[in-house]
Amino acid sequence: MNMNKVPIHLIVAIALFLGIGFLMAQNLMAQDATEIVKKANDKMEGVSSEIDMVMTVVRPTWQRTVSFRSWAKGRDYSLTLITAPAKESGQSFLKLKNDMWSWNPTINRMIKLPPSMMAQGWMGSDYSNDDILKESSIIVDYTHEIIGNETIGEFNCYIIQLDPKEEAAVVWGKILMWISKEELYQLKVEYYDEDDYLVKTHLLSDIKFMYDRKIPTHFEIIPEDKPNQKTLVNIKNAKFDIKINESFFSQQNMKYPNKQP
Amino acid sequence: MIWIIAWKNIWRNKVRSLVVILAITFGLLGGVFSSAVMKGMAEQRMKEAVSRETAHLQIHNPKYIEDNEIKYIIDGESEGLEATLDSLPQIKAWSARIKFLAMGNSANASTGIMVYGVNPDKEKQVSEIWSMICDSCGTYLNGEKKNQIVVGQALAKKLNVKLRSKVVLTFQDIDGNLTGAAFRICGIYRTNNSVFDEMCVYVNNHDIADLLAMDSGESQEIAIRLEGDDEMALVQKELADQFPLLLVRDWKKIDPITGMLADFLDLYLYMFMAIILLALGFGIINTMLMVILERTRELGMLTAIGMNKRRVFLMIMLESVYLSLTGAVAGMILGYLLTMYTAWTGIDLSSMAEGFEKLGYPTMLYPYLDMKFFITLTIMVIGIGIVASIYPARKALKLNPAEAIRTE
Amino acid sequence: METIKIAWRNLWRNKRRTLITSASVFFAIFLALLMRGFQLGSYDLMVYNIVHAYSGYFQVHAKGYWDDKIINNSFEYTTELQQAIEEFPEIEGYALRLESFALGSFSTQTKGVMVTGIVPEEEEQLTGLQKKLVEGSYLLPDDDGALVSEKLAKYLKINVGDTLVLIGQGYHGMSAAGIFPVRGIVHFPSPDLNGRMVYLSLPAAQNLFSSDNRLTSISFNIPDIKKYEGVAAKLKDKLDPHTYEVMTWKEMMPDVVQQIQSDNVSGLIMLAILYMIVGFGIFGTILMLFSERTREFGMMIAIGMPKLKLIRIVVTELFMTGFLGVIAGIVAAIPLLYYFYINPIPITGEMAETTIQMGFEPIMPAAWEASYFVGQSLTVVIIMLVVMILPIVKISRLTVINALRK
Repeated sequence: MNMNKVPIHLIVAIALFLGIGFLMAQNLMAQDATEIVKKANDKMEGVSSEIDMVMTVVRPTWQRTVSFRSWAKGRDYSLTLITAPAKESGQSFLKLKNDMWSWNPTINRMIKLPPSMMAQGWMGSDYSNDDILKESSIIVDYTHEIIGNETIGEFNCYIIQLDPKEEAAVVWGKILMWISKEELYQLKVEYYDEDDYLVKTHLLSDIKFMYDRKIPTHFEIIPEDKPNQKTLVNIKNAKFDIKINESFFSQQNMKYPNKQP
Repeated sequence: MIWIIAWKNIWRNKVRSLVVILAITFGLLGGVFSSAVMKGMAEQRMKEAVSRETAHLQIHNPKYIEDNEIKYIIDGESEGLEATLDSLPQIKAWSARIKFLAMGNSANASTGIMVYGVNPDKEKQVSEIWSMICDSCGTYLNGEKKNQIVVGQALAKKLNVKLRSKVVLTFQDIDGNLTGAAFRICGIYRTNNSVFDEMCVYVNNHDIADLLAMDSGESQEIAIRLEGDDEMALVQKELADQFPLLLVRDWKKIDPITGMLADFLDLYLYMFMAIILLALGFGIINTMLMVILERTRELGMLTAIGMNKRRVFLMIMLESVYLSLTGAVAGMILGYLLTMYTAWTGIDLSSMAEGFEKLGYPTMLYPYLDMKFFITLTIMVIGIGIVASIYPARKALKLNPAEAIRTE
Repeated sequence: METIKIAWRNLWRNKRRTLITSASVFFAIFLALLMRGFQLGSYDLMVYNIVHAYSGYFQVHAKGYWDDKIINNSFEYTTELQQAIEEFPEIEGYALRLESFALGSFSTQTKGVMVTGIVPEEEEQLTGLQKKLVEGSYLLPDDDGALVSEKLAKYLKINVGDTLVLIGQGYHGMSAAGIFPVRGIVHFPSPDLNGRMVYLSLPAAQNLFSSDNRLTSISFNIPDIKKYEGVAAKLKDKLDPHTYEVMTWKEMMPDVVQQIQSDNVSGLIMLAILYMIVGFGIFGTILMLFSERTREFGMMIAIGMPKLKLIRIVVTELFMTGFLGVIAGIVAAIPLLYYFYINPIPITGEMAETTIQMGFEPIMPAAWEASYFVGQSLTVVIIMLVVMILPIVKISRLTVINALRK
């Protein structure tokens, strides 16, 4: 073949084809990235769930442990009941779409959490009320892209970068997530501010079989700038995709300690 | 004749007269300059408060003042409020503001802030915050991008954010539901009032009205800038009469501490001047008594040769008046020059910056000459010259000519 | 001795002259004392108001509390601490406090409030809280009720007898929740404080915030105002610097210190202007005195008195004249100052209202301290000395012939 005479339009066509193919692959990968994040998230949540957890708040000079049971349906509804220690038990928290209520049996009052309480840690932990409200937003408020691989423990993971969409009401400059390729476990999440400084890290481990799936059952929330300070959460029991009516998530229901959906 | 004689008499003892004149000059100079400095500070503070913080007048729903809840709104379109505001010639500009408390969050910190949702074009005419953004600190709100926010430098520091950083506002809408949105800092302003800078942020009102579930034309506050400072009472009454259901207040009521500044200062200064005048008065009495004592022989002689008592009295009084007049004029001129000079260069007080900025005072002082005060002071100094001479002059009259002549 | 006798006699030879000269000194001191007296009075009042509004003269906290005022930075009220404090006889009273932020709620209204656990009697002594009561009754030491500030009560639409709900976070993140019947309403002149203060008895607050026997601050009231800095320093030495911090009100509120300082500076400038004026007055008087007696001096030198002796006599005369003036001035000023110390001039009208809003009493008192009497007198004496230089120089240059010719 005479190289000088390769038709131009053929080259163009090949270039276009490769280009489009490349773009499609990117897109696919991006879609993949979103899919991956979504699937990993769904694994932890299911369509609905009932989970028993123990949370330990660790500080340089003290420690505190709280036990609770949490029901959730989709992204908009969740109800949490504190079960231990005795002084705290009976308190419950209701999340309905964008609002959060708290119920305290000692005072027999339902309080709607105002904006000034949003930044406070839930039950004194490193997980703020605002974090709780905005949990679901990692799918909707961010774009997702796979940027690399890394092995954590025995798992080979995607490293996925989440960039907040322009209008999203989130404070993070970017989030990095490590999700295991095979099983789609979330194993590590890093939260950065807009200047690319790491602000906090979530570490997940201790994969166990719970009800109908294997999930990490040990979380650590580690703030970056406060040494010797973190929050640990352990899942004791979990049920997924159980039947819960939306009516279960109501202010009435917050008052009864022995609930069943 | 007496007039010329009195004048010449003063200069017979140059040193003594000069001493008295200098005392008066410096007294007046000191009084004028220190009052100019204090007035300068107060004027600046008040001007800044009016042009950056409160404007001349503000209109609110009366319930809003008590309860501060955003549901107590003003409906600009009802009853022709906006039309009236546009029609009054004394009103230079007005701006309807959405105003509410919110939590401002960054990745590192969160704090309570006061959010103003404004129409940038109108707001610029009422408040000069837009001009307090330095060249490298960004720009004011323009309609171009969505969700712009302008914050004060003290707040940017507190939240650890800078130009183009994201700030998430969390607040309750008009029905009490929790809502929020992310904004990008397009400009950072700085005033002399660090407390103000830490609290107040500005956004475009159409970026925020929907989130609050408010209708167009609704606002919590309308700020009014007048053509002239003295028309406040007139406009206030006019508006209050036409719109009895709304609360119209002038800035002195809204910010009473700054409002009372002028009055406080006047009290302080008048007390000071009273003491200075008292001192001067005694000084003049003293001097004139000495003068009489010294010139006993001469005065006796004058009376003996037939100068009538009234003339003697007048002569002495004139001498005193001339002294104080000369001193007053010199003091006036010096005081004026010094004040004008420092008003041009300014006086730098940055070493006391922290305390001043917490109160909202500028650290660069520009003394301000209050004509009224200036002239009143001068007249009073002359008056003292007259009054102070009465006692010595009467003493002069009581001299027995025969004895006086024999005094050495 | 002889000098003094001669000088004294000279003074009374010409009573009028002496009187006039000492009068100029009298006015100087009298006016200066009055002016400075009122100035110092208002600064003292400012400090008093600030100290008794909340902070006391100095405070003890857990180390680091003032920079990060959270309940986790509270400290235990140990017996050692208590003993250390009791060893100071100068400390008359001290207010124990436990403070934290919480949500206050009544029916449908909710607002962020500042909850302070107090020992009612000590608190009253330090800040006069009981006097601010406008409705209901004051707290008992182990009361389970609350005092609510006026504007806050209005916002929550709560009255005496209703039950206030407080919710928040306590020590080590423990949930804080409790209900408190409202015992009384207190009024604060400052609208800011008036809208967010809630007071509980100390035990009730400690229980609410799960912080038994813990405090966020101890505020000290020392009646002898001059001594507080010394006592604070000594207490600081006694306590372990890793556990506690001791701060005077000046260290806690440096911006207020700056404000008072700048007021003081402007006061001093005014005083300087006053002195300048009266300085001239004294100068002029002395000048005239000299020119009048030139002949007399010439005569004395002519009959053989050594110049030095003459100077000594004249200086002594002037000193005594000045002294008379100073004494007279002080004597005249004392009753006035004392009167205004006890009965300060009241401020009236709108200005009074604003003063009250800022948290201050609308009065203008005079100060009553020995130290500044001495200070002013000294200043006047120095002025006199300076002024005397010229005449002394003149005498030494005196030639008999010129003198006798006058």
